[in-house]
Amino acid sequence: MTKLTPRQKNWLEGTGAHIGTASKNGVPKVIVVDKAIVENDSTVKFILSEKQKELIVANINENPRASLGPGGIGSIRAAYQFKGVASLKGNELFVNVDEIYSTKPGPEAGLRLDNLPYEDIIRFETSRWADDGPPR
Amino acid sequence: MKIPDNIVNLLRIKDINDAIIYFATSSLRGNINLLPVSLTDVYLNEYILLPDLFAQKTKVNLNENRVGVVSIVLPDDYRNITIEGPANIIQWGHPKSFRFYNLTAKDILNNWGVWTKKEDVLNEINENKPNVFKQRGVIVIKAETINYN
Amino acid sequence: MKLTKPMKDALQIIGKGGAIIHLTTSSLHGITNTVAERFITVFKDEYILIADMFAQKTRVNLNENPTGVITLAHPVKGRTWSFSGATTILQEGLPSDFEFEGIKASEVLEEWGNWAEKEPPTEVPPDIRPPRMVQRGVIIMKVIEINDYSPQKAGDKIKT
Repeated sequence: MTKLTPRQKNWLEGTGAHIGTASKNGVPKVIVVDKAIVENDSTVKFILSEKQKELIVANINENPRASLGPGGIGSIRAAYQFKGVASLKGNELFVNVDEIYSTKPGPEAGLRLDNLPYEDIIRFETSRWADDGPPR
Repeated sequence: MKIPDNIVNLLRIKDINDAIIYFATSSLRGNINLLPVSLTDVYLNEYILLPDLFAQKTKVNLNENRVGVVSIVLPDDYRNITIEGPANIIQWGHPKSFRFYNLTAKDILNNWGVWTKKEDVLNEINENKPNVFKQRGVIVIKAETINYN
Repeated sequence: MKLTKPMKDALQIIGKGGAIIHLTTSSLHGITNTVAERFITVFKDEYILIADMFAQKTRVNLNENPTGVITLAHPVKGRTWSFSGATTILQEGLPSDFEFEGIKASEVLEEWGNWAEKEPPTEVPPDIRPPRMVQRGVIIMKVIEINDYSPQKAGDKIKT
């Protein structure tokens, strides 16, 4: 079971994400939502506008996999990519994260984090970044 | 474990057109990738080294599952040998003190980080001469099991 | 399609007033990958270039499904744009006459094959600066469609 760290939660909730979806044949569509709420340690909830929902609903119905890149200033400092299974309930999009990657440029680009012991992920973060989320 | 001398000799840098091996890695869900490699060396008789020439699927696999298998065919009797063990990529940009078992990034990158200093990769006689040589680091495999298949 | 002056201003390195972008690609079976990129520029008005230094899954995806979406990430300042189109990697070592969507690989690589030298990332703070930049090529998108991504207009086409 994947568990987001406090830093990951703070960044996602503070800056939202660019959300990548695709048809089952691989045609990508992206929406950008500037806020999120993390529930149950690994579920990220986004509130969509009608038009955002329209744009991705067909994709989610035929292919629920989605990727999240933190938005806003998080695109620079929150060097993560989250992947998971998406579902829509009304205008709420839920992404149940089951893969987390470092996207820090350099040798750790692409390193998978969620399969490491939780303490190692925390150690990885605190030794690389001084912040625990976006500026408040 | 130590690798037997005959295999060490096969994998050590010698002639540019010597042995080709396969390096197998797998995603956590079992999606396997085979990388053919013509440049190999051995260090401390225990670690197999390959230049990382931007092997993307190998890197994707090692990023989540740090084990690999080197597959070799012995030239004398065509016997297949596989060497399994923990594997990683020591990459330019790692701190010098970065460790992988008995190896440090400093040691590995200073000696093998620019493979063209060791082996005449860009010489016309190289049957696998790449058009451009861009090396991101060194793939390392620690021999833990050797199978004679 | 041709990009406007404000778009070209946004699609360059931060040090020149540009923005970080997210590049989304997909496998043939719809596994998407979304990563931030900072070494970007516009080439000949309708192509977006990105330095290929650390791409892995992006590269795996483009190798089987040459399409992508670029969304402006930071600073946005009302520039809620999403660019999409044919996307590939022009790699050092391609034949000199290799062409992609009307562009010769050699002319792109000649100018942008060594990004760190052309545009050194001096403005990047040490904790997020790439430690050493080995560039393997240039990711290129021919922009075919531009959309708004703001919540109220998400998906609306933008004409230039």
